[in-house]
Amino acid sequence: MEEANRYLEELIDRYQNLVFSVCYKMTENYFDAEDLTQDTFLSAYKNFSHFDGQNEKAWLCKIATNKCLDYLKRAGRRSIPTEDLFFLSVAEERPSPEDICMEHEVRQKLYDCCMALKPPYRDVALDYYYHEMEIGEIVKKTGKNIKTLQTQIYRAKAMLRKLYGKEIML
Amino acid sequence: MNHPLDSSETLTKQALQYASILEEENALLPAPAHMKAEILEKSRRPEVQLLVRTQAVAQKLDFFLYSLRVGFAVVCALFMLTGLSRFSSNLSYFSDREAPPITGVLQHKTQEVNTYLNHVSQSIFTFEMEDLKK
Repeated sequence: MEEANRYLEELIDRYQNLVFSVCYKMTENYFDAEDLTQDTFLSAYKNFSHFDGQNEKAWLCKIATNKCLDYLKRAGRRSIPTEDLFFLSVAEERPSPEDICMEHEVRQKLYDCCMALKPPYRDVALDYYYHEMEIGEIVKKTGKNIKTLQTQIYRAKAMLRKLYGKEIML
Repeated sequence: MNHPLDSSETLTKQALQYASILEEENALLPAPAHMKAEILEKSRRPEVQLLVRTQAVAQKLDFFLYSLRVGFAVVCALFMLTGLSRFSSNLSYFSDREAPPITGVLQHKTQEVNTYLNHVSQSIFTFEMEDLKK
């Protein structure tokens, strides 16, 4: 079990950005991509015994793609990706400049969504999701009770997810 | 008509290619900083641990059953090899034991026939000799 836990940590360190990028590309929602990335690694962890140990990247990509497709199907999204419409930039040999500059765009969208929340969720969301502060640090900074803070983070996430969805619909 | 979701294999390949190119360009989206901790926390939940342990045990059990089957097959093969060779040697032993009485009887009967024939020829010979003397 210890070995499996260590391997999971290694996989997360090596591939979390890659899996997150794929999930974001497919869902176009920061928070859905985060959940799906977590699901991908957990699913990989649960299925270590079935993994032949070769080509981890392809294996994780396959799990992530399937998770995203299932999610989009469940969510009843109109634009379920097909090979013709999706990852179009790949067909053009290189990702589009928008994809290359995606980080800035994503951060800006995240900031806008956080700012659209009402207090006290705005500050909590900015600290936790935008500035990526630890809960302990936010507790120190704000002097809030840790349980209250955790609840506010949880609620802020639900609101942000909806806001992000609306942003995409526009 | 194919459902769009049926093309997951192609999508996976494209996603992999897309991610590899982003990786080369150093343009991957950084995952949220707290994500690793959340995944590790979720992986320590009892239901996840139970599932992982069950799968590991199932895999070991599968291996054990497989080795049992192979072991049984080897034992059967060895048993059949030794058993058959013993059986064939037993067969030859029995055939060796049964042969002397049959041949003995044959020999005895042949001897009887020989004696009878000798006797007949002897009587014919003496009859001929007596006839010549007369």
